[in-house]
Amino acid sequence: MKIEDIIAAAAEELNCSYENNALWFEVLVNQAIRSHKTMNKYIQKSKNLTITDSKATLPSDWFKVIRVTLCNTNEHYCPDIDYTIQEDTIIFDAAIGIADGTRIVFHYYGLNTDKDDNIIIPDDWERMLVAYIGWKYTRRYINDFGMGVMQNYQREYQTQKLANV
Amino acid sequence: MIYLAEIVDEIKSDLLSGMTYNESRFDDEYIEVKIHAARAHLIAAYLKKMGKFINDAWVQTLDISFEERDKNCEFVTFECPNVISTDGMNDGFVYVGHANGLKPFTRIRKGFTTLTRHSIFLRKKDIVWDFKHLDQNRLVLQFYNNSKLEHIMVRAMFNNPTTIPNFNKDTDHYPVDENLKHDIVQLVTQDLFRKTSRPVQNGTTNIPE
Repeated sequence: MKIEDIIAAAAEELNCSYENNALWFEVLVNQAIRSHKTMNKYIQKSKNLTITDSKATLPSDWFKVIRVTLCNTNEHYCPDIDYTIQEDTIIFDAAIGIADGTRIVFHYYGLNTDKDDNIIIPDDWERMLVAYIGWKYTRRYINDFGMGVMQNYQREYQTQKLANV
Repeated sequence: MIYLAEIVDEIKSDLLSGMTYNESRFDDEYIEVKIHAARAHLIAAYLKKMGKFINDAWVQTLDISFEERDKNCEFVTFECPNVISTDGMNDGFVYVGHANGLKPFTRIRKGFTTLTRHSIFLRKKDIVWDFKHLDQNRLVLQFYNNSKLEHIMVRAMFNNPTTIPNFNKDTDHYPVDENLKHDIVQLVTQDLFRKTSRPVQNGTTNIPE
């Protein structure tokens, strides 16, 4: 399912406006996915990247790096020595002297994507992600929802997270 | 169909204890202003306390064409009347989006928050919008990520329903249902009674000193 489906389900559950909350809910879905430490639904992928100024932009669906190799020779680069990753960019140590235009292969674990490179969220995660949004939303508006409602969402999120490990 | 004049007449009639004659101390326009304020106040209270169900009879639909384009900043501006404010979670906008009424656009900001600094916003390719109060009391909707946008639809609960373009008080339905109309009449009548009642002066009473 798409990220929009999760946002729509959460907006309906919380009886709030989709368009007013869509951006924030997208941030929350990304937070929940990143903090969900499971490899269950991830698949091995690889992508060729071109280095410019010792940097390259990573694919949007990457979750965990398997290895980084040079395209022609299959030479391995070491994490934290040869390169570091900051947000969606891989940055190589300038001392290695990788020339602009060099092609590398980025092997990684990621979720499935559609033709527009948007991630496809596993159906089993819907309840977990909706509960996470519910928890954060009711915590923000705790005066309107009360402590009990917020804690219910928090418990549901934790239960669903365990169920999906 | 409920018309504004009908509500004004009912308030006047209530103030005169049900006796309907044409004379009245109250100016129609003054009562109309009171009605708009009472409507906004009551809708906000309903949304806060009564489960946030928005009755479609309170909502007005507006088809707007673009006002101006800013090519440098790549946004399109549409003028839009002010909407009621309800609580920290919602305001009077019900739908802002494609002119066919089926595709809402995402809003950038809600109250204090702004997600334009988040990298998610930078990656967004969909149309996003913001409601801004510019100088000289211009209230506008600004749309980003599509500089060719020409027509949009806005469905909202406006502060003053009569200020939307082409609204005719004599022929157009005033956006309330019977329940809301009843509460508006009660609120405005009580307010006007309170304002017009005068305290009893000691000099006119028969109480011996």
